[in-house]
Amino acid sequence: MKSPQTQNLRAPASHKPQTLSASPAAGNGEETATAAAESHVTSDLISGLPDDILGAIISILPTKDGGRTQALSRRWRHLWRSAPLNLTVCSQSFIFPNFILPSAVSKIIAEHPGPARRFFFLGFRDLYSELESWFHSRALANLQELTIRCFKPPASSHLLLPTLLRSASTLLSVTISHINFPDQITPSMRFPLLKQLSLLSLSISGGVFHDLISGCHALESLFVSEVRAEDCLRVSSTTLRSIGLEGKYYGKTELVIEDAPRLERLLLPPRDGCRTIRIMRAPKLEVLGPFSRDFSKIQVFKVPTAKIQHSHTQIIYVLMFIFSLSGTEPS
Amino acid sequence: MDSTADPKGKRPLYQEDGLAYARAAAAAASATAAAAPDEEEAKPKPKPSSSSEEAKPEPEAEDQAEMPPLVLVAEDGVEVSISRRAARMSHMLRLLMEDSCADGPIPAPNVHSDILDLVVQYCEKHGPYYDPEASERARNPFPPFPVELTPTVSSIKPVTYVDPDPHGLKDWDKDFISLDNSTLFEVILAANYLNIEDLLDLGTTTVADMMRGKKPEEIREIFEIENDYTPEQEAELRKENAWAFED
Repeated sequence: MKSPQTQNLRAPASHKPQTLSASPAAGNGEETATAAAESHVTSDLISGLPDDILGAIISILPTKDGGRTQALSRRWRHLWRSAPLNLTVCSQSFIFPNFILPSAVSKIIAEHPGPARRFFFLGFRDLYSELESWFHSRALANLQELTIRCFKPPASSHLLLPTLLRSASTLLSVTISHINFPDQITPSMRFPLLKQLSLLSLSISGGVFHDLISGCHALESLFVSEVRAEDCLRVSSTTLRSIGLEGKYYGKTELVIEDAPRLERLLLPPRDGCRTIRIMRAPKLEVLGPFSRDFSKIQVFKVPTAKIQHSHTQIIYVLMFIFSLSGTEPS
Repeated sequence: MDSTADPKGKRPLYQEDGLAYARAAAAAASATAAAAPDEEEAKPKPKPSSSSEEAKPEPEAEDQAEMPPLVLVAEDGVEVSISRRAARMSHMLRLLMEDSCADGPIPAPNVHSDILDLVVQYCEKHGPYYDPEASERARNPFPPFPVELTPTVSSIKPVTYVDPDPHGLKDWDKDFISLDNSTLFEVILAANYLNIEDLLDLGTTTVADMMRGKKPEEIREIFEIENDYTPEQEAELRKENAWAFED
């Protein structure tokens, strides 16, 4: 903690953004003496930061912490309402005490002028009608980050999902678990800005999966865990750089990397059991694994094809990996 | 400032005036400094035109490394130099370099030289690994992928362990940002002015970490915030926002 007297202290913030002159070094005593006529010396440096920086800090905090900043001082009163809303909800209060309970959500989204930047939801009971009503409000219309993890699957989730994804045009990051995808991709499920997608413990048809991925023109990172598809999961993406795949209990669906020119990493957990992955085209793939030392079999096939256009820079190969791990610890 | 100003939507903090001011000032400064001899080469040599013919996505990064460093002038007049590679981390400096306004001294009028040194240190450390197009910022690390990409190799490398932080940047950042509060705020303001998104993120998450999970009384103590609410006002506030204050 700094000592107040050596700091060259700036004028206290007015309640609008301003560029502050930063003069931390002692030695400009005369300047502050004249400036002090209009300001009072304070050791409360944080309140001197401009509104938008404080708003950015508040917008990182879980919702309860964010709401509590209103009580810090009068200068902070309006900041929570003007910062983008970070709505963190958990239906069990003991897990994340700084998250809010579902019962408080309607009040907050009614009172907060918005926009909501992030919606992070962990649900341990059936809250699907609540979710639906929240997502029909304007407050959650332009989310950038969406996480919905429901540990009790809904009865008719394929109707719910399009509603939850209505911020598709602004979403940067999506994590969904336990909510199955509809059989047909809806026109609104296009994600022009989406960079990160995580799908966990749900079922999706191969066709919807393929169209979903191909329709994201900014997607960089994909995480798939315990995802069931009756056919295989095919990936075609011009932008995808990294894929993580997990499926210890379900989701042993075959994964086919049809065409991923920018894919650099394919990450698998070390004790994943039997899995088949076909890599048709991933010329930039560098990192594959990690594997346990005890994998028993990898088969690699390199198939020359007549369609190689730049033979010296591009290698097109078909690889089939079949490995079964004997369950000892990887070192 | 509306959130559409920043396409990533992370934070609409970049002040448009700052860039215009820096451009004008840099142009004026380089005009007057044109006659003055430089400690570096007098003029950066015109870059070989082959760089524009390359089809590779980032020839610019390699070119930048050969050009002389930029010179930033702090508010106390001290000059601080920053390599072009590191300067890419600042959106403002990147635009100046693209517009070729970065040859003369660039003023940073709100930033003291000690702070500028710290900021440059951060940029020099992160600069070699900085990819303006990648956006994998581990703000909400799920999934916990490695953020850094290994340099390109020509063959698949099966691995038994994937290092989440191959260049040790996370640990370095943790040491770097353990500053006293006033220095931390100065660094945040400087990162805001120069529009260095990664450093701004680092600073703001550090402050948020100090506030997380604490009651208002505790936060006031840490940051020496004076409570200017009357007891009645505070009670009413807590009642109106009961969801925030119940435990």
